Amino acid sequence: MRLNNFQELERMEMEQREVPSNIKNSIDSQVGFFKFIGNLFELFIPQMVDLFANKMTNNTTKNSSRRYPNQ
Amino acid sequence: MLNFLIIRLLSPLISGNIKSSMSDEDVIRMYLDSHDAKFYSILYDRYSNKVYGKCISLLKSESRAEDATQDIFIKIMMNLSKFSGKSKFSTWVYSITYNYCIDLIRRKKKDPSVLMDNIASEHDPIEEVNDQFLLETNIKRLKIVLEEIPVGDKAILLMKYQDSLSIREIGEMLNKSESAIKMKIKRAKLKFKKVHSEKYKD
Repeated sequence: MRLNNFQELERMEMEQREVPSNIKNSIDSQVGFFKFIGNLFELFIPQMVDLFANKMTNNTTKNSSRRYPNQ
Repeated sequence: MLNFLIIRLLSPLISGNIKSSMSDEDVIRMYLDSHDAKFYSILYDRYSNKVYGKCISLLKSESRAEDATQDIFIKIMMNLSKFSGKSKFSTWVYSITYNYCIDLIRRKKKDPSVLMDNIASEHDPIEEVNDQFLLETNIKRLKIVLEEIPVGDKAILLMKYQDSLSIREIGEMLNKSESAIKMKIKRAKLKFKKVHSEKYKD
């Protein structure tokens, strides 16, 4: 496909420079960090929810048992 | 699940040749199914040079362009699942790139007028500049004139003539009507011609 002079200018500029490798490295490290946070949430949130739910159930049971002091 | 397993098993077998022949949409699908960074790297390799080039061209600073490219690719990665496939992936990538750079320029210059509507002059009659004039300007001059015109005008000319985007695509990209985009292109061409004739008398 024949390039127009705008596209030719872009092609020439692309040939003259290289994308600095530190950009890819920074993206990889940021993505790694996001993944780590994601894994952390994935691992601990269900446990936290379970813990919270258990706590609530225990509290309700305790409360209900205290409803009748002579029980 | 089965999809995921197949991709996991096949991904080590995908050689460079097959990778290069895969369409962007296939690569995206495989990335979304497996979350394997390898597939994202394919997209990065395909578009990083163009995105970086556009950032340098619009932001006029290599260090700002590096930061912008990094942010743009993270944005692309985070929003990959939202890519609907209505337009080409390249159009979607350029849309994020142009919008990011224009926003950055607006914030830095504290000038909200970059590529904004100029309602008062929307219907003013303006001289029509032939496409041929721009397309026949030699590359050296083209580069110089593009550096001289306002960044909003430059961006819209690059969208139209470098990325060959249609008026509708540019409109969707900038969230503007087709008639507003036509007017902006007209004005940008006129500005280009004015700067060109000021610099080159021949």
